[in-house]
Amino acid sequence: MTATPPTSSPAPSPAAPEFDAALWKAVNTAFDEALETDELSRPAFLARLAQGDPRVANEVRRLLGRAHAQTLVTNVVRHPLAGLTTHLAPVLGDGAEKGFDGLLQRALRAERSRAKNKRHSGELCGAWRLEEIIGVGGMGEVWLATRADGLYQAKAAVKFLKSDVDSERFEARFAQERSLLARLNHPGIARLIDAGRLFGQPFLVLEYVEGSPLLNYVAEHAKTVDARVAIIREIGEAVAYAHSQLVVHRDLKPSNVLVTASGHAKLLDFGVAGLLEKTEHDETTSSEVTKIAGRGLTVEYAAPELITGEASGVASDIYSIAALAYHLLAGHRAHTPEKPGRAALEHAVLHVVPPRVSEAASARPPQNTKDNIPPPADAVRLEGDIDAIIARALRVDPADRYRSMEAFVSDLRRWAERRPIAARREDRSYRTKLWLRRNWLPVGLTGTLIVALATGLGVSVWQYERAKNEAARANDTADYVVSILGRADPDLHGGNWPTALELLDDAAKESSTRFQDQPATEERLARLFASVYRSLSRDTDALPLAQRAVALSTQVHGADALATQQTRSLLAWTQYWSDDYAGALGTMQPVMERLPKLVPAGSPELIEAQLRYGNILAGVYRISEAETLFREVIAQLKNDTRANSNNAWRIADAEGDLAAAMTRGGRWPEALDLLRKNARAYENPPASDIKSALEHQSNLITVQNVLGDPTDVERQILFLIERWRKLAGDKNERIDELLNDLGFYYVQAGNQLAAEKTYKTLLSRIAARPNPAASSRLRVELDLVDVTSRFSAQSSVLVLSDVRRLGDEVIARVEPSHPRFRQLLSRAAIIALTQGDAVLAGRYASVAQARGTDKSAANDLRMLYVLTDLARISGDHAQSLRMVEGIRRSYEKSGEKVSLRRARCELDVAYALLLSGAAASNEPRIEAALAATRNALPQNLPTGHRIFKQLEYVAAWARFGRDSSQWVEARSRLALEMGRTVETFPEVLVGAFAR
Amino acid sequence: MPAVTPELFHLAAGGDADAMGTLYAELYPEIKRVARARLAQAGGVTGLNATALVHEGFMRMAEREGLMGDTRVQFFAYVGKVLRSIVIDFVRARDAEKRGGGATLLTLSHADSAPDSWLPAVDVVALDQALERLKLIDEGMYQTSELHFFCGMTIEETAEARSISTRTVNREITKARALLAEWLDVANARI
Repeated sequence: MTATPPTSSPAPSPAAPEFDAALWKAVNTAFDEALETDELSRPAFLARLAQGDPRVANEVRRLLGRAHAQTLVTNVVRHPLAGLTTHLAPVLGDGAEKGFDGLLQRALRAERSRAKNKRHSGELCGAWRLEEIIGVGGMGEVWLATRADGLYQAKAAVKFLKSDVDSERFEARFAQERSLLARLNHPGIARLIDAGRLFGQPFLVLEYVEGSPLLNYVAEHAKTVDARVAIIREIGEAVAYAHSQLVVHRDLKPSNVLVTASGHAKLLDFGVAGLLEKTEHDETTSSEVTKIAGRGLTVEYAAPELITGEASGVASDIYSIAALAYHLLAGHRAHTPEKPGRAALEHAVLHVVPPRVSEAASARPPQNTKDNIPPPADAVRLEGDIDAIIARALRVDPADRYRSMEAFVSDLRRWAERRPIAARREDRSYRTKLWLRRNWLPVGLTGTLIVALATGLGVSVWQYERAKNEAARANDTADYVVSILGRADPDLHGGNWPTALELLDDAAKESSTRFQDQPATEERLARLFASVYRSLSRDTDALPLAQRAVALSTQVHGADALATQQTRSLLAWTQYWSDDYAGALGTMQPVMERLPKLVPAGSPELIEAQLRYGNILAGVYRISEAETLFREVIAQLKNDTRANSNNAWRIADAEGDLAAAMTRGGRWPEALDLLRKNARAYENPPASDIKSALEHQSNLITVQNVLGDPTDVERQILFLIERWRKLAGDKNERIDELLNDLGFYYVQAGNQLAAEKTYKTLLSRIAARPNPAASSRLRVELDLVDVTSRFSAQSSVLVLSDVRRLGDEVIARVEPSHPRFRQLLSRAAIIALTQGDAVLAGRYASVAQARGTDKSAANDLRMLYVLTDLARISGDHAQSLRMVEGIRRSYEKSGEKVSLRRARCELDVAYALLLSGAAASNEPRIEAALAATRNALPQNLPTGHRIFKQLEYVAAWARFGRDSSQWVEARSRLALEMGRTVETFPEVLVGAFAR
Repeated sequence: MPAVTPELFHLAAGGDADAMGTLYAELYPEIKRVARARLAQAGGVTGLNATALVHEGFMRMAEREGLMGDTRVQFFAYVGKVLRSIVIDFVRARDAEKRGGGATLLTLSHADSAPDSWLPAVDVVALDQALERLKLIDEGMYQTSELHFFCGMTIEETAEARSISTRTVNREITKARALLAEWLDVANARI
């Protein structure tokens, strides 16, 4: 519908005269005769008839006209004329519903499945228990449900979709859209929590909103134009937010908006229309409305292009919100055709320009609609600006409307702030254009008129320019986002429907060059793409975009603007996940100063920033500050008594972050307890937080792995990798972390080949990144060398040359303030020690100590191990003993009683005591250390684990003495385990208990 | 069809309100069941002529029950009416959410006897009301419409069932469409 000329509403036909059987009898006979008469003699026949009974003649003439019209239309349908068919097709119901036949089929099928799909209270829908029906919508029943697994208390609305929705396709589509929909996290949008199928019937689990229907609320509580515009703005802002997240609503209408007790609007069913849409090519004949209406959705607020089946997008939402705004401001709908029925309504939407809102509000309300509300008390204020805003948004041609929801909202904001609006000027030129089109003759006169209009505007040029720029910027972004969505063309993507991710990759690549000279637009796009990549854990891709966004935002909005804080927070978070903790801290600190002045305490924005800051603090090992911050947030969440907020989950989420901070402080057992406590919550997260939940689950497995408890680790890691892959694609970097954990697990389990394979996979993944960080690669390479060293798979010389190469590269390429610096150097030192090169180990240890500035507790521990073994290799057993006892004290302090590391440490104490001589006098201490070793061993360790052979060797020495036959036997078994022979077994074991 | 007898049809056709009520109550679920079963047999292929398909099921039923003459016509008229109710109930339930103007459009067209059995898109519920009005002024024309539009009978079958000529059936259909179009005001100019 690009060039539909505006026409007036069809003239009402004269009231049909009352037929009765007697009149019909007369008409019938005459009608029969008339049908027999040929076209030529018909006028004479009718004239004769009129002389006899004018009434009968009149009826016959009309019926003949009808019969003739039917024939004509029939011919048009049979021989479609170009242009006419597009008008006819939607009305004829081609495609989705083929007339009576199609309806009958649907009715009978619905009948059959209704019997199958009767829901009962108490029934379980995934983790939700149905309580009571709270509504029957066009799409199906809506139930109030409560969380059934007792993880936390929550209410939700479970919406069943009509059973004739193809549930498999729905599910596939939902899987595709899930991450996009779940990202809709806005106070004005009811969240999508989950979805699934019950006996084949698809359902959605949505945030349960307590509130009044929009129209009721407005009629009772929002009686002025200001109050109503404020609500429309709120709705518009929520929709604009969704558009920025690449989601369109497509079924905006008053019944999809609830107003909460606090007076805030909440939009329901976001993106649901899109989920239900069919995508097959063979459905192209049926218009959007047929598709949507076929799903029980309404057409009252649908944009014309939805009716004609043309492409729809953000512009359709703009039309719908304007239709909704019209209703609120005029007191009734924009289109109220005289005749009932959808045909009349569609005709009106396509061809009738509704009266201006101010006129509609002051005129007598139409009698043929049921949902009229009183117009605002001060309706006179609608005149002018509001008229222009609504009219522009309601234009039939999408190209004539506002180009983005933000532009629409900002015009309403300017109106509320008594500033000039963008639509007004545009509206005048539009109307002038229309006028010109209609009255093209007096051209000279119109020229004068335009000048008069322009000077009459009385707006300062500066203000006008500003308004224009802002509108243009919103337009560019919206257009671009729309064009991205518009590229969903199989022909451009190897014959397959592209996923949103593929479209995003294409768009992100070209956005910076395309908007080079428009910093505001580039900034918005950079922020959008960065946040999407961040949420997919593709931080290498996100980082440059986030950096660009911060630079541009500071330039465009200023350093103190809210937008800049949000962009900085995003950058900081991306830096955090790229292991650049110091950078993240520097980025985030100004946000923590400014944000509390911009948003209220306890607001979701502030809490999110606080949690991020807490994590970043922990990243730079300011653990106690981080812990204080986390505990504050948790306390705040616990005190938050707002009904239905998802606080239980948010607390579990914050505690997960706290646990991560604890591990950085070396408090592993505490962290394990906290994570285990919330394990079930992490298994059942709300749809919007699946990623955080997976983070926590991954952390749990890492902690368990570090503590040496092998139970289920391998299976769990593989499962989590698969989850991440499905959720965020194969490129996401959390998979790398999990592979690292898996490699470590295989090393611990003595599975050399699996460990090597895992680390090699990881190495190739890292190498495939566009700009891999040196420290990530070096860590994996050191892991690989460590594996060969532990199992003596290479000659000492080769291992040592590898270690030297890698250690030197660490010194050259890793930032000394980065925790990886000390971590990697101490690892290199330990490997050098096990290969007997004390000089190299000593060099790395002293460089790490002298230059490394991080505060990682884990690195402190690693350094202690290195120093212990350095003392041991130099023969200073007394010093070595003192140091290993120091390590033991740190475990005692942190409460780590059961772990492989603790067991090794105890064994190391026993070994150090034996090495320091005077075995007899130390016997009780040695025995105690051996007992402590056994107590510290985690359950479920495989019997073949290396630690048992080490324990056997040390114990044989303690009990039976060196050179006893037991000692010799234990020594040869341990040598075999380490890939050595009795001959090559080192005199003094170093580095053996360090990892 | 347990309690449905030819007598019941005669009584109902003669205007006996009780008989009509009984007949309707008995036939409604039965017809639904047969229609569903028939449709299920066909495997729910989209695009098939559901009405004609369902109609076949009732042809057999009428033969089995030995329905003849007027009774047979009455029976099919009822089948048509029930099928129409099924559709209308379905549409009403589906449009329940809509306020006022929203409605489902319907075209009456049967591929096998096109082009003449065609009526422009109209509001289903309004059509139902118009048909009731038709019944009041011309029972015969109403029956023809019912049999042809809603029961899936071809022109020939309709003529045979009503014991009238195909020419008359054609004529009645033309007139019925003109009347319905007039009452529903669905001139071609509107579409």
